[in-house]
Amino acid sequence: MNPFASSRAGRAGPWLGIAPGLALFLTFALVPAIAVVGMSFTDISGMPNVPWHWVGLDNYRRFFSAGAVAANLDVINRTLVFALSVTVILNALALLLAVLLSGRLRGAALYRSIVFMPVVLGVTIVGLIWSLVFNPTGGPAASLWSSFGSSSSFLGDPKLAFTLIIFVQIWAAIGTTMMIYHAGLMAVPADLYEAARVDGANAWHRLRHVTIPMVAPAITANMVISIVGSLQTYQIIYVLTGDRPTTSVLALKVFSIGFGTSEQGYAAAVSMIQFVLVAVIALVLLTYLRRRETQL
Amino acid sequence: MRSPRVVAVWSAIAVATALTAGACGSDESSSDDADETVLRIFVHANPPTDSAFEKINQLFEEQNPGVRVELTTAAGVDFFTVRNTRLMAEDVDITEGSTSGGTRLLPDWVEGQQESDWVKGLQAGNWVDLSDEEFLGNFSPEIMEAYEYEGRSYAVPTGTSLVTGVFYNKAIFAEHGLEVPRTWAEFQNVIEVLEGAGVPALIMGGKDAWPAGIPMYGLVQSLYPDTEELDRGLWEGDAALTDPEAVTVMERLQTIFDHTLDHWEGIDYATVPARFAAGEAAMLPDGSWSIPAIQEAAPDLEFGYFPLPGGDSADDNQYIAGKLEFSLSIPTSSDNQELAREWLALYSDPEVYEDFVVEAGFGPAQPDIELGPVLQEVQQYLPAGGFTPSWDQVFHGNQYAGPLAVHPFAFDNVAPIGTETDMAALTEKMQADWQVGLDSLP
Amino acid sequence: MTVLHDAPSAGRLQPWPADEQRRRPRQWSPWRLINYLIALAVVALYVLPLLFLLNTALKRPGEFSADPVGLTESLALGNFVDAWTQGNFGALVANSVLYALVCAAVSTVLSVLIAFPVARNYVRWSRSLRVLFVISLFLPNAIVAQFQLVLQLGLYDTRLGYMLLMTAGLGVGPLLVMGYLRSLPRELDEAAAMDGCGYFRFVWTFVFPLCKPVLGAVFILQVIGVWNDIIGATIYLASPELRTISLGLFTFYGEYGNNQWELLAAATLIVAAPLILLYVFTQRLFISGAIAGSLK
Repeated sequence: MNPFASSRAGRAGPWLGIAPGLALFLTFALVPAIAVVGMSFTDISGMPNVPWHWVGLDNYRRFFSAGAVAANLDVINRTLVFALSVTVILNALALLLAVLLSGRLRGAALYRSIVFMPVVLGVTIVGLIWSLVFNPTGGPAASLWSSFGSSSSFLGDPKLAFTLIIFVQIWAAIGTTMMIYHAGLMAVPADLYEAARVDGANAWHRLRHVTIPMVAPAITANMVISIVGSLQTYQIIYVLTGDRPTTSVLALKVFSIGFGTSEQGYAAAVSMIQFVLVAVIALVLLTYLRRRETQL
Repeated sequence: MRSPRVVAVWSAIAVATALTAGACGSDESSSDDADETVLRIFVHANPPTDSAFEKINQLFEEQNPGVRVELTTAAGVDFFTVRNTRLMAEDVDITEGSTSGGTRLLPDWVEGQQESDWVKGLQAGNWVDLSDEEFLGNFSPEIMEAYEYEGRSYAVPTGTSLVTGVFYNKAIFAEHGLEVPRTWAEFQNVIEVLEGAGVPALIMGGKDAWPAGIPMYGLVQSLYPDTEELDRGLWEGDAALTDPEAVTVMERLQTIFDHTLDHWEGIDYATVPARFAAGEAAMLPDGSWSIPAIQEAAPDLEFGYFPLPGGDSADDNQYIAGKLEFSLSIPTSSDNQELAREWLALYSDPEVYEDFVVEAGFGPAQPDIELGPVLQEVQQYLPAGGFTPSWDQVFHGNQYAGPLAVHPFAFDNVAPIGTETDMAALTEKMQADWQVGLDSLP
Repeated sequence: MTVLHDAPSAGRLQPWPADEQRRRPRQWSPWRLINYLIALAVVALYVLPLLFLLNTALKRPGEFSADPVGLTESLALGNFVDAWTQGNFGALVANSVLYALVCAAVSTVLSVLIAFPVARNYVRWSRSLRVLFVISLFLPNAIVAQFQLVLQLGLYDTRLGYMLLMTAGLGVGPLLVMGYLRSLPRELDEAAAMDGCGYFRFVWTFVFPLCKPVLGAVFILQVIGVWNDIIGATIYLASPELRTISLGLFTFYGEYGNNQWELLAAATLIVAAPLILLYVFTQRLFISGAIAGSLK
């Protein structure tokens, strides 16, 4: 219950505070998003004056049509592999790094800033850096490979490119995840560690029985943010390899169709398929993690 | 409690800047409108054409005091969306109507597909009719005809690009006693001699995938005497992607891939003209639009451009096919149509256009243009009408087809760009994907 | 607590209490060595690619193509001057600073105003609001509908319109603050209300400072998001005088991306520099952990 509710201003306060942000969000984000549902049942082009028609489920049928279905399921499958591997590895590494770089080491703040740098630089610059690093003729990675007597075309190799993209994505995103864990760690009372130490707990036990339960809310937030983020990642893939059959994910399809063509009805339908996929995964995960938090 | 004050100061600064800047912003734009007329041109980003347009704009501003020409560009796939939003906002006076290939209405053998954006826009009345403009008479009639819709003209061409040729380094060829190959056997011999001497034969930018399609268009051009007939045959079931010619296309494509620089599948297309210019390989299959980039990288380089000899007989390999480049049109929603016409008239002036087309590196859309040395030499590979459309301009895709037949032939599945090494098996899959498209037509 | 701490003002909330180090000053242990080795590896993985970019930016035109990996021989600072003038970044940087600071400041404030009552269940439908802001992270791509809305409201190609749009995408802000608030006790709210403290005064004088570590994260993430936005700016800022520095870099990339790597690397660093400075500054401001005391 709202403890400020005794006065009239105290009762209205929370809603007054929420109103501006919520209004902006509803107007510019939610309403257009709901319009996408309607658009997915049309053949709207996005060009002015070009007539459009209701086409029922045609756009969805097209996505699952005999010619397209195998490739599209392949893309969905790759999207899931990408999101799962990025989320798991990212969170494990980020939590370890956050603990490691939480002030015990000399210069920990500097290390944290360095790891956060790719987030600051943004996707375009990160993409440029790794394109140069993975340049197969004369790039640093190629030099390193050749010192082991090996060579590779890196991002051009259809078998290797996707793994490299996962690596770059984790490299680039770990700063945010680590920062959220760091903020969570800052809120853990030091007495708990002292108590655990008195009880004779070693480093692993302190991590398992003190740190992890105490940062459980941060874990929930991070897991949801990274799964949702990685299910929607396309820019880094676009910058590193373009939309290729061996590296494409659903979000990249949404981008390619939505931007590169005038088939906005079909683009809306693919967007909706992606939305449903992300919604199911995110909400199931959120419910599970919330339940688990209380058990820890 | 110092922190709330910090936040307060930050927010105050931010809001204050916003308000002043917002106020300034609106002032600026209103004063702009009062003092001068702005002619807004929007095209896709492409350094040679951008700088050529800027020169015309300067000239136009000199001739029309009080007018400012504002050229904006968008790169890559963004271009299509931004063009649509700019048109919707009635915020552009000249832009690309047809982005390539001319008008090309769907032929009667194609079923269940949509007309191009250009045609849809024409049907919706989005483009100004320019048929009565005198300056259109400056352009070659064959090219003007390709952009016509129901006998009227709505587009001013920029030029043509050749697609199915191969650049070669004349010094390297001379050093090894090589001549321009006229047949597939001669082409293989050139590769053999070069590699025997330790010179990489070919370079391409495989990381972007699409450049690997260029030799495919060349092979189709040589191995199919009539590509329009191939398009009709595929749609009507008289031709299959498993026919012997198709298998040959894929096998010869594989040969070309095999003799391209090591790890070319990881090479960025943007770097390729400069690397060819530096002599890293003797040949580069690429479009004529790369001529300016090669010349810029090595102004003194002697290089030529020949048709990829995909066929066994020299007669099949006579021509380099190409495409019509983008065209300029005036949206009917423009407030400055008169000024836009004047700009197009200036652009179409033979002297102005000649400078434009040379700087852009395009083939000319006007007769009697003095060409640069490379294009001048290439004239021998062009048919009497001046122009043969390449396969990508002839083929009509089927949106219901599987991924290997969306854009036949499936060059990007061939190793090392893709993973396929057995070309006979690949053509089976291509045909299956094409057939499923025919079977799923509504 | 002396040099071993990166956060000298930190009190009881440090996860690694200061007295631990005092008791065992720089004692050698294998665990400690491993920590340093990991930190070293991490720094190498992050610093080397960035140094590679810097090294490239300092090479003479053409030097990179000749020898991509070698150390620069020329310290060609002129690249920065050339990139600055050719990319016309001077005219764009003010726009970017304005958009980023305003949007980030406003959306950080809005995030707290939304997150506090929702995290505390002080309003009805708190649960639904929480789910709504999770969903906001993966709404379908609504460019066409959003564009129509912005156009009808007369906000197309205006600074105000762009800033409203960028602010409306609150992103992870509300969720991060909600997650953080859940780890803070609510007794403070009740005590303050009992003392007759008004709702907004409480939010301003207690909630904001308490949330400082997480607000730093929210603010900097918003700044980065706006600074690096390309799609929104491409569509909604048509006039050259309204454009942002990231759009400038994108255009620059198109213009000089064919082999002028030295210039491109310099342009990249120019665009990233303000963000890096801001990050270093706000990191010290926000994450120095001055949240002790008020929690006792």
